[in-house]
Amino acid sequence: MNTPIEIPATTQTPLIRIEPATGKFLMQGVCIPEDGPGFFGSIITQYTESIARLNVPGVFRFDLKYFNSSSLKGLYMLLKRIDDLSNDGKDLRVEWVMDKNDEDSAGPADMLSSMIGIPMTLVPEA
Amino acid sequence: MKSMVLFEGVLNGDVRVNLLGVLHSVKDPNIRQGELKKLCGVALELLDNAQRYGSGPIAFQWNVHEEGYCIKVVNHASKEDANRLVSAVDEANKLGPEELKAKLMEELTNGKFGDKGGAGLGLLQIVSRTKGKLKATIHHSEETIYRCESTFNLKRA
Repeated sequence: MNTPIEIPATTQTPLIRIEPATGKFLMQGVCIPEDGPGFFGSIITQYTESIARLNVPGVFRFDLKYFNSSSLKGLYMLLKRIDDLSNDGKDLRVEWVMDKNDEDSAGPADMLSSMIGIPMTLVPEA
Repeated sequence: MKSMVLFEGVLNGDVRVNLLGVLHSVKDPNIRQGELKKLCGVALELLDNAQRYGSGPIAFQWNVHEEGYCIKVVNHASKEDANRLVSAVDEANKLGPEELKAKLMEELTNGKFGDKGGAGLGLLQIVSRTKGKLKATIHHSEETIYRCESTFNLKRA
């Protein structure tokens, strides 16, 4: 039940890593799937199921180099789900990694955070 | 410094990724990394549209010159999709900043994707995130197929 999940990155989709034991969720890389609804539908299901089984606080890190508008909508839906589950009593935190070469990289995080009302910690790129 | 990328052929996921890879590697001291990323975002949205709604081969052109930038995608699409492209571009160009923001919010939060997987956000984002001009023209090329030309122009700051 607490088995980690790792979906390797492709040229169009990011690495997905879920570690139920530590509560760490990572989405990292490029996110320009040809089938945005299919990709995010599957991710939202996996995240929701994993959050339901969490016995520790959850930390969701988004480290995306770039993404298309279809993914922006998918991210909105995923973050909305995280926010809903957080409001139901789960201890969940969101981190957004900023691209050091892009002065606007906090823009999407700010927009999503204020629209959903979910706090996000901006993390400088390593 | 001038640079140009041209592609003609069938657009699929691999071609889209490879084109973006080439665009991201443009080395022009006059283009800041953040600006380049924004321009690549415009190209990505236009290519996404061409792949999602188009049929057959496309033509893609990325042109950086002294005065500014031009990104053009030519594809073929059904009459319905071609007309929708023109309407969407016209609507995005007409909206003021606050209306544009409201429309973006509306599309983002409606919780649904289009029949072909689009989010309804791409053209709105291009107009809202850049100060460039977006234009779409269509021509009736065959009985049921239209030639769509989407062009983005931006003057250098």
